[in-house]
Amino acid sequence: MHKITFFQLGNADTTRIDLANGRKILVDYAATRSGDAFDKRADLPALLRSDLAAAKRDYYDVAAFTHHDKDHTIGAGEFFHLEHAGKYQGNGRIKIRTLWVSAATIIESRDDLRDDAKLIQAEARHRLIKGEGIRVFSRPQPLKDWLEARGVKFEDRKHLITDAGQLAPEFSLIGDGLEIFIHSPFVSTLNDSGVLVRNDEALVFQARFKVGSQITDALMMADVKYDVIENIVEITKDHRNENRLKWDIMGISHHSSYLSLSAEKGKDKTTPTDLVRELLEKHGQQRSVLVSTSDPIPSRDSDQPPHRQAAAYYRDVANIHGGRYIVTMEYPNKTDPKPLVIHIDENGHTVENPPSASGTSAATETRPPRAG
Amino acid sequence: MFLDAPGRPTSEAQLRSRLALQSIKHLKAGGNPGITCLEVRRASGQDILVLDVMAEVPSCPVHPILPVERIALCFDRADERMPRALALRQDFPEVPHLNLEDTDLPRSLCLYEMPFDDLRHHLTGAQVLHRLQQWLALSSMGKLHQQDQPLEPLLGYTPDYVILNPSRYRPGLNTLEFAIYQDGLGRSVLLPSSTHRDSTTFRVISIVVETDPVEHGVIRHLPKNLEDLARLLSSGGIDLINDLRRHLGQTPPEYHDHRLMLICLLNRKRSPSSAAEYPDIRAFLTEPTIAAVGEDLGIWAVRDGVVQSTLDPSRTGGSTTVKTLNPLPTLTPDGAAEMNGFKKASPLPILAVGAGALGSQVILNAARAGFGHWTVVDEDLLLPHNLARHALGGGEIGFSKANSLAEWVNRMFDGEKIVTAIYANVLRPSSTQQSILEKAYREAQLILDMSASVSVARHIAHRVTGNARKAALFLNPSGRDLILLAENPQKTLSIDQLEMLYYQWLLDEIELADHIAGAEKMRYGLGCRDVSITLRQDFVALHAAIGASAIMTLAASENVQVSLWRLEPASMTIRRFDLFPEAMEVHRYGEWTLHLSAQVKRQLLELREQALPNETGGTLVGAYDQQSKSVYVTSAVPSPGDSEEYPNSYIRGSAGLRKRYKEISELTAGMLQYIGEWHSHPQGVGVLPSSLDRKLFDWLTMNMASDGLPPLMIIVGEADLGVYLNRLN
Repeated sequence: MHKITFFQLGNADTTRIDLANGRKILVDYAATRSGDAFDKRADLPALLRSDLAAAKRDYYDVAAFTHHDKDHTIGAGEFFHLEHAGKYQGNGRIKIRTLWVSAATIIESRDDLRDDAKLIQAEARHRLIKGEGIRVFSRPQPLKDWLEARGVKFEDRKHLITDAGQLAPEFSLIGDGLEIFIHSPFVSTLNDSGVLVRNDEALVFQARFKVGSQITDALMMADVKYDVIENIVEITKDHRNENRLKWDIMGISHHSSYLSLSAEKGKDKTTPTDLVRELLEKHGQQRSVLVSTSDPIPSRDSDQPPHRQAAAYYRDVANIHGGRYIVTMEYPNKTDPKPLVIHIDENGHTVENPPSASGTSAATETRPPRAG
Repeated sequence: MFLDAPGRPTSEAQLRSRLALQSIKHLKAGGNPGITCLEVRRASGQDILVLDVMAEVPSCPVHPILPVERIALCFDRADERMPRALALRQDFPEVPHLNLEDTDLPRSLCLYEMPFDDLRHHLTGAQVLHRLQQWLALSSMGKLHQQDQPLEPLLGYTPDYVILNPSRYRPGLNTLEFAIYQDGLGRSVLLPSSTHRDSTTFRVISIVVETDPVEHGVIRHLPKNLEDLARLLSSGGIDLINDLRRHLGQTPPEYHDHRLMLICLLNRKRSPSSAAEYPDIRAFLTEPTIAAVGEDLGIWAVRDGVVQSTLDPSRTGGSTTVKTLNPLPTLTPDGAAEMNGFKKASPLPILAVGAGALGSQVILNAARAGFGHWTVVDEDLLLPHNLARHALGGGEIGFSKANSLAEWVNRMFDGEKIVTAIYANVLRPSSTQQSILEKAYREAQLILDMSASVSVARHIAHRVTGNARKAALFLNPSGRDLILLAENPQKTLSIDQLEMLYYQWLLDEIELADHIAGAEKMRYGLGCRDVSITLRQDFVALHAAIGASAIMTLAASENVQVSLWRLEPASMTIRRFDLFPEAMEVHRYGEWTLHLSAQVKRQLLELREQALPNETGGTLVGAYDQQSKSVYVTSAVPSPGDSEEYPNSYIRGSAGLRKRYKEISELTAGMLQYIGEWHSHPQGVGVLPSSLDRKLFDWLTMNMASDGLPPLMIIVGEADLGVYLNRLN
């Protein structure tokens, strides 16, 4: 049985994939919880550590950073063992066997990068130059320039680079019951329809799980806007890879922002563009689950996501498929959200019930108050 | 899309059911975030919670249950009944483990298989809610019914039984006679009329019907009339109405006052693709007689009391009410064996002597496990004081124990002859009894002496010939110890030899010192003939259980067995002792037979060795059986302290001998005694008696003759013994 866990972190992402064979993948890291006792967001490092301890591990097989915004990287510098500098090592820091980043993470020279994002960038650059423990997605010319400026031959690092439209070589259906198909970032190009496709930095992928003969697809959309989604749909169709658009589980893009559906928010419901609608309505499967890694859906209009209009549309999509739209900060309820665990087995995917506590089991699983 | 929940809305304050209140409290405390309570309702006698229940239902379920289902959980206000869970979704699927309700919708989930009385004392509201989620999740995956769990019945529960003996049942039409017994609690049992002589009886014609397999899981309503039944059977490929028209049309008029019983083998399978497993067997009895049934099926019409054949296809049995019965087969030995966890019954022919306290209980235990075809010999009548420890009951007082036990056991197997009684004294049978006994001895493979009588034991040992393996099972006088002596099939040791070695064991094994010590008469009195004997029934029952088990084990083993089970009354624990006896040497001296234990031979050779170069000697321990002219030598007493030992002679002293033999007599209840003398010869002399030895033998002969016993002298040589009984040559 495989497991996907979406952590409740507000408008931020961390998803863990636990494979039946014991391998673990962490997608993004956002330790958003403040010290506030009333903060309902997950205590991410504690949850991750206890899971690793139970599995007797101190590493992830893969840690992927879909892009390096704050809501996908915050706290990573305190949690991970980074090879590029001794001060980020030891003290129970968690190791990464293979770090996944998009090419943008290597070449970007933004000044506004936050500390954690900078550290991930430094680590990725260090590993790429060293030539191990890294996979970079897409290879625009600038990546080649970047390498050669540092005296590293592009040809010598080619095996560490995977293009959109390819499978990530770290996993296989036979060995792991998982293959990961890369949708984005993709190279700027003219598509078959003659449209110029803009390069985008975020890592979007389809994780295909296989248990027995049962296939379950999870589409992880990171933070991409509707036009990128349109490009993904179009390119994938052009390459006759439509089954790579299939999804049983979707990590909704950008915390249920309307901008991932259309340029227009709409009054009460966002109307998606045709290609976005195609992805959501045509390629979604029966009983599919849409996961919005976000704050609770507001009842009034808001500037920041999640947008109630987008949520209204996603709910429609869930109804079409006889599925569910689940907001991480609302699961199972707003007062006491819990990590969302979906397991995958020969019956497809199953949303696990949040633990129901009986008084006696609660008593044996928690530390009681001090007795006087 | 949702059905209405029962009752009308109410407030929590109106709830009375402990389970309902606990459930509400649990949900409010956030104890089960997967369940939302939408509404609280009340109906007569019920508190109802309308819930949205989130369950771990997969995306590709076996049964189309949804991840969130709306359920009305109906609690009995007094918590006297199982909570009912009604699925309110209109198209909730028909899945296994639904309760049979008066209407199909809403579907009622069968949450627990065990009776509510077994649950109510520990069940909490939180557990009911959790079970609800589990039920939905497992049902959706088709895993609620485990692969190793028996199939679900196809029809609902009925409290009524009919007891049938399948072996007396022939295919096609049968006429049977039944007695009906009603228990006053609304249940009735139909019994073969032979077993209940006092009840009113009626006759039926029965027909067996076997359907094609139907997938199990969905329990159907009991049919109310023949029309209902025909509808039910049609899914199994049976055209009941036309079959009945054909069958009954040919039934002679003298059967028209019978009632009709349809015995239906409703075949079932686990899934659409699997093979048929054992059927759900039900019997359906018509209320009216065949005459009326025929009319209701349009086979004939009765006009002015005259039956006229017609065919009225519009009459399809709607007026013929039927009662559903659970047919139960009578118990067979194989069935009994299976109920005891054995594969098959064992028909081993056993001749048991003695149907007393121990015997009756051992035989009953074994028969109940399907073990043995028994012939029981006993000459006693069952008397009131026997009931304190006998398997039989008050109804048998004054009757033969053997006959009554046979009847009692055979009645369990609907008259099958599992026990045959011989009401006779095994020692003094009449000439007819003698021939019956002779036949039983010949046919038995095991002769089991449970008579608690030495004379019977010796009779069986010496007078009963044939190939049967012999065994004895008895209690010691206090009832604490059970002893089993058993020959092996090759009879390397005979039952009488085993008895003697068992006595010797009591001398050798210090822990058994109190086994029979102090008993005035070994084993006598244990047959319950003595009204004054004290023996606890719980001890007898325990030992009868061990005894039956030991006999069953023995039948499968080829070993000689001498075992003793000792009960520690304070803690009621049992300890087992075993003796592993070696074969005895047998010598014949005219009419006398001498049995020499391997133990005494080894002992004598050793004693000689130790005394060399001097001679040594002592006395012998053993037993006589005057009737069979047998002498058993089981051990030797070493040279007394005041003996004189020389290289070529030996004079036995007598110091301590009297005390030792008194002890031997006490420890064995007089069964072992002084039986003769032994002495050793030095190297190279052999075991032939010297002139001194001849004088000694004369002295012995003189001494023993007064008691009518044969003199016994053993001379111990380097490797062998010279054994002289009665005469020196």
